[in-house]
Amino acid sequence: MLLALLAVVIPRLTSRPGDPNTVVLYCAHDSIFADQILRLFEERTGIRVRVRYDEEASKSLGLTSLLIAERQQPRCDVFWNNQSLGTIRLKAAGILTPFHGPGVDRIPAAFRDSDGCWTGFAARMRVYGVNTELLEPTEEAVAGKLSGSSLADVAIAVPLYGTTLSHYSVICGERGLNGLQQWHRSLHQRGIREARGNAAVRDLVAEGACAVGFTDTDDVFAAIDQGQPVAMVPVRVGTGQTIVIPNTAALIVGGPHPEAGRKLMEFLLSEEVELLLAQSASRQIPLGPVDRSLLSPEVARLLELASAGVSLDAAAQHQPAVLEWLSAEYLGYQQP
Amino acid sequence: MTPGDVVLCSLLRSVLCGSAGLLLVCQLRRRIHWESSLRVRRCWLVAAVLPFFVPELLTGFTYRVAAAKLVHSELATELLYGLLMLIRCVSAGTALMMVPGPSAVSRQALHAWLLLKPDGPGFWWWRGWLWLHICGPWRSAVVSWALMVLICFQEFETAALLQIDRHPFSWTVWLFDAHSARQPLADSFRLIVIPLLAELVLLAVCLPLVMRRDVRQDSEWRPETDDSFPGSRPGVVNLAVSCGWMLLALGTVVIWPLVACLLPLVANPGTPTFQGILLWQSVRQIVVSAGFSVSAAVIALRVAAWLLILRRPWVVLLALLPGLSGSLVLSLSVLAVFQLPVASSLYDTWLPMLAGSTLSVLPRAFVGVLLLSRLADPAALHSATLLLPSTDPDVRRLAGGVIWRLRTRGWFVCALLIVQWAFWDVTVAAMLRPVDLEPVVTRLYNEMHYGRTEMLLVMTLLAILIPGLMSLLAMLVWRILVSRFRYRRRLFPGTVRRRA
Repeated sequence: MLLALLAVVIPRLTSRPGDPNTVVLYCAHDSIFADQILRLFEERTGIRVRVRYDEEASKSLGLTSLLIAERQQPRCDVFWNNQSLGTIRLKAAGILTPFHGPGVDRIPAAFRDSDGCWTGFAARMRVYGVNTELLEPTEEAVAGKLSGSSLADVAIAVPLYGTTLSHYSVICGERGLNGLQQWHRSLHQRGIREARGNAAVRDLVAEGACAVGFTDTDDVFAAIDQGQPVAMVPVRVGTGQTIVIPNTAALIVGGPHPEAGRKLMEFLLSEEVELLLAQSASRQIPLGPVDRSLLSPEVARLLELASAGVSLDAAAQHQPAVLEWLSAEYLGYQQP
Repeated sequence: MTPGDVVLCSLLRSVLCGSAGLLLVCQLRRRIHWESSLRVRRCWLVAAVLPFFVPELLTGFTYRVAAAKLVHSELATELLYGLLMLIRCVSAGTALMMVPGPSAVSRQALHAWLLLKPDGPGFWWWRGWLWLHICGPWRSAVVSWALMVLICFQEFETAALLQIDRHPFSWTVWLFDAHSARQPLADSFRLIVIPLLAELVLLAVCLPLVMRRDVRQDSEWRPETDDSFPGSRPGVVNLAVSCGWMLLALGTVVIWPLVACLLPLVANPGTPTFQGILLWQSVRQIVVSAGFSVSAAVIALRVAAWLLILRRPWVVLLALLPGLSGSLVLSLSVLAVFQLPVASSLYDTWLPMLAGSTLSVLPRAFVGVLLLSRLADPAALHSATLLLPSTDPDVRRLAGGVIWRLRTRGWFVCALLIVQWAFWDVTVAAMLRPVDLEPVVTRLYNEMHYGRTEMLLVMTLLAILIPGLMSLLAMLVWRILVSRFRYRRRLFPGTVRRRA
């Protein structure tokens, strides 16, 4: 029985990706939404997409760290990240190669790398999820709640990773590290609830355990689709701008299938893909020009808010310092 | 909190759960073993161990909002997590109490030692008294306690799902967060030294006790002759405690999570439950994941059987060390190994995931093999084996049936349990899987992340049913093969031959 099992397993163990009509994609976007797009690419081009997804469970490693770990022998051709700061880190590590193909120019300069190493598309936005049975979903009501003496019914995710880390980095870019620390301590002194991830924050708000929670648009839409009493209010920084977090697509240096990788990049940055993601349950916000008549009212509203998005350049520069401080704050650990 | 504080809190909670669990396990075991009806005894045993096999994903998902609703009380969150851990510990401990077998020290021997007590008892007398009790009537309890503490100490999934405001404290979650903050792997090795030492101490306590050769090898064990069960038959109080605990455990970990997942479907019957193509994709993922888990379980059991035959405690400890480090550190270590130039060509294959899964379940496989060796009846097996070459097909069939009941069935059940643990290990699956494979357990996490409760429930039920059906089919096929065809010895050579 053991020999039979090994006879099945061993050929699988030694199989290698030798097909030229193949592209390897590392995708941090949720597989539930990305699958449809990748299957469409396969049908159109005949190129098979071997995809590795990122999950909540592997966040401690993450695709970004995996790409860095694999740099000597990369197996990935294209990296589809669901945010930009991790991709910027890859550029700094020399993992990315420039791409100047079609689709790049349709994306505003604020959402792509000046050297062409990465390009943003189909964004999310940082928002407050509001339980409509506990609080009126207006910016004034949320501001009043957040300025109160008690935040026991307000939730935020642990800021060590994900879009909450990006949020912290944006605040650091605006107020400096001291300002960020004061803001963070103010929240905790007033008893803010801290959950493990935006999905957990969403659940706390949806179940009525909290009235307000810092989360993302796709998480709030998931709750709304479940019929839960949740609405969203945009998060604004001091200048009144919103925090827009784009997906990013990037080519990997030394990827085994560069030509197929470029075709996938062109496809991901197309108007068609942005529309597909906008029409999916996650309602991603198109960054390039699209036919607005095909957008839902919810996405159209978000598009207006996204036009006032803050630049993430300062956030990218400050993220290492933010992470170093958070490591000491949360883990009692000093980064080397 | 510092890393040391987190480890200390985790250890303290584990010791408390293990100790409280031991009291309950003793009550349950007393109830089970004094039960005269074999069928009722098996029902009690199944009900007692069932909560241990409920996926932690389901339990954590069900109670994570409950944790936040607990009137902003950190103590209440810790108690909730402690209760869930206690339930798992008691389930595991009930089975683990059977591992060491009956007491190796008789009451007469203990009484004789008491007679040797000097007027002013010195250290040597107390040391001997303690050692006799640990090797004797307390052996099952000590082993069970140590392993329950280990199970609770290593736990990660439920703590991660439940954690709010950094409670419950868990060193495994802390380590997870440290890696999220891009802590180098070398630092992780340094930071797990203390938790690893704690685990090794626990193992060092129980492994020698389990593996020691008993002078008394009473295969006809009865409750009246078992010196680890002094006292009379259990009474009404024991019945009340046992029944009450069973209701609490099954209700909390089995029934309520199922009801909680079904409620949204009942409340909104018009909600589309699933898409056909996604369901087919899920079935395919489940079958592939199950096949992978079977491979890991078979290899782990084979290695465990060899370790048992070897009978070198230090070799055993070293072999079990990777699995004892926890899935996170193990996965990161395996990943680092396959990044080395000598192994990098095998990186994008199934080998890293197979190696990680196998090492992860090896400690549990070892305990399973140990249990099987303790429960084996060599004399009866030998007699049945002698009947196999008979020219009478009915005799061969009966002999095959006896061998199946006495030996092969136990191995299948053990393998099934190991497969189940390998199947639901999300950390190893997420970190070490090759590009083309998305194990179903990581898919379930995504469904949970997007609050697709109905899809989560359907996929979880399928993930339990499909491997279960595959296992039943395999058992039936194997039983037919054993009964109808020539018996092949040493397919699972793990049974320790007892010396006369």
